[in-house]
Amino acid sequence: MFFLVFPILLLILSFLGMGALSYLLLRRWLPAMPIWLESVTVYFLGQGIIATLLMFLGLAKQFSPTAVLSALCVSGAVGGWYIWSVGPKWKDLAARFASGVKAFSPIWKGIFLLMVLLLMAGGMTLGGNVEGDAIAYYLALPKVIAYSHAIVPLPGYEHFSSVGVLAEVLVAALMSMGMPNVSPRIFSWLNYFPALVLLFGLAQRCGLGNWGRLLAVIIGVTSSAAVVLWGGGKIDLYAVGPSFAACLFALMAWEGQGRKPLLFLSGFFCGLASVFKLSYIIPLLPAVLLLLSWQQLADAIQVARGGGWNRVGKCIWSLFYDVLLFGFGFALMLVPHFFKNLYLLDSLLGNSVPQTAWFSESTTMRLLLSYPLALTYGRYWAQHGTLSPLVLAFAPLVLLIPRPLDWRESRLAALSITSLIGMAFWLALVPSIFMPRYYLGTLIILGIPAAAGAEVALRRGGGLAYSVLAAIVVTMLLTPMHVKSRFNAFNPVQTARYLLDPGNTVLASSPMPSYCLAHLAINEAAQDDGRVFMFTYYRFWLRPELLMSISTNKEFGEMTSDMNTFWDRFREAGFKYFLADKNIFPHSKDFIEALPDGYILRPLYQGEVLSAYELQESPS
Amino acid sequence: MKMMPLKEVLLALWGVSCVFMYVFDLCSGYPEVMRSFFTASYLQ
Repeated sequence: MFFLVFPILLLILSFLGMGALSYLLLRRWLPAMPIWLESVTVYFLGQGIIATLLMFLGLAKQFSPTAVLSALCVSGAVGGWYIWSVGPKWKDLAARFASGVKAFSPIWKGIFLLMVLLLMAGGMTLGGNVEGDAIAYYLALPKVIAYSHAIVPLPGYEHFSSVGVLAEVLVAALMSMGMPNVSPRIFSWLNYFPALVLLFGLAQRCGLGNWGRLLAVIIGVTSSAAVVLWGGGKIDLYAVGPSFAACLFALMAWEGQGRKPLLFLSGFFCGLASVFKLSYIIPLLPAVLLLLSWQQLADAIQVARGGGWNRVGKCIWSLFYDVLLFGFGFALMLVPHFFKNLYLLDSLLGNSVPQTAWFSESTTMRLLLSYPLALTYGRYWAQHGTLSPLVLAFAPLVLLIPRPLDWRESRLAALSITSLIGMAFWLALVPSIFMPRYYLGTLIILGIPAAAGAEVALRRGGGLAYSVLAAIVVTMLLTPMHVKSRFNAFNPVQTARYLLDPGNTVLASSPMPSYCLAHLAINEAAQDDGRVFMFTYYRFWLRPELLMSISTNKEFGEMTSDMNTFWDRFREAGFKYFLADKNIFPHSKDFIEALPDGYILRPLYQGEVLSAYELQESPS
Repeated sequence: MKMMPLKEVLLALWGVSCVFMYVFDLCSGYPEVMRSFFTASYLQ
């Protein structure tokens, strides 16, 4: 139990410590913020800096438990001081919050309670299913980093190593501090809490009242695209919080006070979100850039209408200066990522062109035409979860919001329109990639105008208000079942068993215990230096030294191109073990049948899908 | 009894049907034609 709690606590403390130190540098220029907003800003600021520092530690091959612990302890001590210094303010806030909740009507108390229960249920994802991609890459890379004390391209995923690794480095730090097997995945759930606080702040900044803000958070909690990732082991959720922060600080910069550091912070968080999940660049970067320049663009258009071209030039120059400040913060996160690519892959962007056509043209067209509906009801390949149905249900309620007197000053209109434009960029550039988690931050932000409309309906009262309340309650009650119909994320029994026996590898292998058993069989047999040839993507439970020596992309391509020479090359390259996945690589059976005379494949484990073999010389 | 304006009736109907579809999606009675409309496998 100690190794489940201590590493996470230290990591959070270190974020707060590093964030507090950086915040102190900016504080004198920043406008005063409420303590809850200051604390989450400090948290994400620290997260970005700590993750980047740990990445450099990994690139320098110094990612040892001692180095990681030392770095985190120093920063964690400052984090302890920060908590001590803001403790009284948090105590006051908690008291005011509790009295605020007490003043809620019974129905809102019930809704609040449901939201808290749903959030707490995330703890049960510790025993839930692990995503296949996590077993293939997102948890396997941190395991290799923690073992080798270095960031290296994962064999078999060399090209994929050009994506950002900041989240994987944080998971590796947790593993390095002793978190057993797949348990670091739970940090994704905990990290979602401060993101929701930022969503609350963003809704507040757009002028939403208490009900609207709470509804925005409920939309974040009832979106199964987020919930399936709480404990799934993938890293997509890490980008959500920074993407909210990027929009929030862009909006705060409108006020004028502390504009420069706010623009810098907006760029920093936009960069952090983009490095956590590169796909965020497409919808988030244009959305945030438009948001921060909304007022200047409005001024420029107004001046241009009057023919004052000299003043248009002045507006554009001030815009250029703002974008420069934003770009500085953005580059601060992006440049280390490019450096990592140059260092590991000798290329800034990596060597592979990602595949962007995941569906046929007719399916893509159907997707585009059904877009808002598909986000809520879609069950497309690899989609996993959906956006909360409340966004779709409440979207037309924006018609009830009074039209802004001045569009230039309407934060809600600016945030909604720029987020829609960001989404339009995604649909125009990669329409065939339909995965809400790839642009989840922007999608959830689109819930804010819907929540604002619902709030207006609630204040009007009557039948519409009752239907809004009914929709909220039904959606919240059904969210766990909706999630379960797509991915078995919550598993209370397995979680309880796991908490009693955290070191049990097989217990933490759901839904792939047979994969785990195949890997464990190889671990037991491979006491020497034999390598493993992979006819599967799934690898996490192999011993780390075996993970580092499994077949590479190049070897796989060259060796499987000719079945006649496969086994000769197999022995020459030092392979001894063979993992065959009947589902993903059905032709692996043909290679087994083509085994030359004089050799046998000793079965180490034979499951329904995955089988493990050892190559031996025939006794005869 | 005061009648709801038509605009509000339509908005309420839209919201309720969106959530009803969400509930229906969980039931086995969900029409196959709807399910296949919102489903496609890789490269399909």
